[in-house]
Amino acid sequence: MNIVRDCPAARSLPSRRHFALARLISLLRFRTKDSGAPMTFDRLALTIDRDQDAVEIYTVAAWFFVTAAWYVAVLLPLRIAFAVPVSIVITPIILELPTYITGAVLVPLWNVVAGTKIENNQKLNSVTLMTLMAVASSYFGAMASPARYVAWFFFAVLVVNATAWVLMASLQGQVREMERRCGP
Amino acid sequence: MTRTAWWRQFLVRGVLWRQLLRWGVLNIPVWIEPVTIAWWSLFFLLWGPGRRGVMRNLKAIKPGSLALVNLFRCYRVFWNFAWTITDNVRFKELRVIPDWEFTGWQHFEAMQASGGAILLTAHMGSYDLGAHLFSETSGHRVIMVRAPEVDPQTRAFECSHQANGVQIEFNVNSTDLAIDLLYAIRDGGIVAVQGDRVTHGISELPATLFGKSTRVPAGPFALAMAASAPIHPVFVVRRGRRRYRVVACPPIVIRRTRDRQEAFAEAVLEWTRDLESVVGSCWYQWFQFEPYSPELTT
Repeated sequence: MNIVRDCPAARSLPSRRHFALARLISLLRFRTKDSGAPMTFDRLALTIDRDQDAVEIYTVAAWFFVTAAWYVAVLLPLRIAFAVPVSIVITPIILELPTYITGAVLVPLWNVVAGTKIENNQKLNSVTLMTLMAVASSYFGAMASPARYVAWFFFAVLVVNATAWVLMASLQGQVREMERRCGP
Repeated sequence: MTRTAWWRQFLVRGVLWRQLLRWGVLNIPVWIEPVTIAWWSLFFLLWGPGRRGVMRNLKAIKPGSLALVNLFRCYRVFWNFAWTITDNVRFKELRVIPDWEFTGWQHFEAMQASGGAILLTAHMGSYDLGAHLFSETSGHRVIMVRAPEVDPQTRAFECSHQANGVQIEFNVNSTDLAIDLLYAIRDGGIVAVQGDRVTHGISELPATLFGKSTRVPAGPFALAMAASAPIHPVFVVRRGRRRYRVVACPPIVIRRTRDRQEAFAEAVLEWTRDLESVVGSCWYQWFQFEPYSPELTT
């Protein structure tokens, strides 16, 4: 893991983002922002890790949660005024369920069968959750309810992110140049 | 396993939650973590003694505040605590380091330049991560002194999942430990101690915090006097997701006089002044789950 010292501009490095869209936005910001911004503290050490950006992670978490909570509220056999608070409370548990199934049942079973010792299942669970949300969005997207707009928005974000991924693949040289300037 | 032992793992200090946290760090996708942490922080608000302890402390830190407001503040403390212990486990399991900012760098450098020193900190932010940071950046041997886990299974779990780099000593036998620590400081080591909570069987000194009487551990002050080493108040403050700030305050030097109590009282006053200043502004991450003063229990 690389560490950048005393370079506040490194906060905007695309390498500190997880999703392609966030990487692309940070790339554009990095180019326009003044890299000589003063530090409000004596020293700084920034970690170059793809999950380091708080704004990106909170935004994705909020978007994913609102989407899932909306679907749950639609499915609940309650009036919307009651369904919304109930869905807010139970959605986090529902979102955790797939990770319990893969991380606590399927992967340990696989470990027994294949003789492996896989413990870190973040990537697998990440793909599983996104796939399940895509399946759910396909279902709600075809419904004649306001949930379809949420589902369409989900797919729109996926498409934009995929486009950003293609763009970022062609801009790898620039990203490396930025990292070199910050000297990790 | 007895029936009692079986139940113990479900208690708030039981091993089950440590295992679940480790499992969560290895399994929950990072981009859904805020939702998971928000929910589990809400769940742990059901822990009555901890919730009441934090709320009573908040009553002293923020006099005149409403109980309902303090309940929300208490949630914020739990939320910060959840993030902090998650970052700590992430470091142990995946070696992922957060971002660090430093203020009072000159005091930090002075500590590194001095032969041996005592690093006095509080139950704030990620003090565990902070100790690892010092050990990796200073080149000094760092010995962290802490209270052992109450639950034996939890203690065994924590011992088996310790990160390398920092020597951890438990303050169970204070006499033997004091001699070891004295030698460690004389050999140029840094002893990191938490000075905001007194555990059972540990010698203590009287102090005043936020206008209420309290007790602070006597060990660091006695050690500083015996080793003629300065005490460096250092706080590790959580500034946001995976972002911490190390706040190093001017060192406290204990005069070697005949009147030990007076020298200790002066040093304790300096320490509580620093503690009060940092806790006052960062009350949302003071992980003191019991009332810090007997006046707050009534």
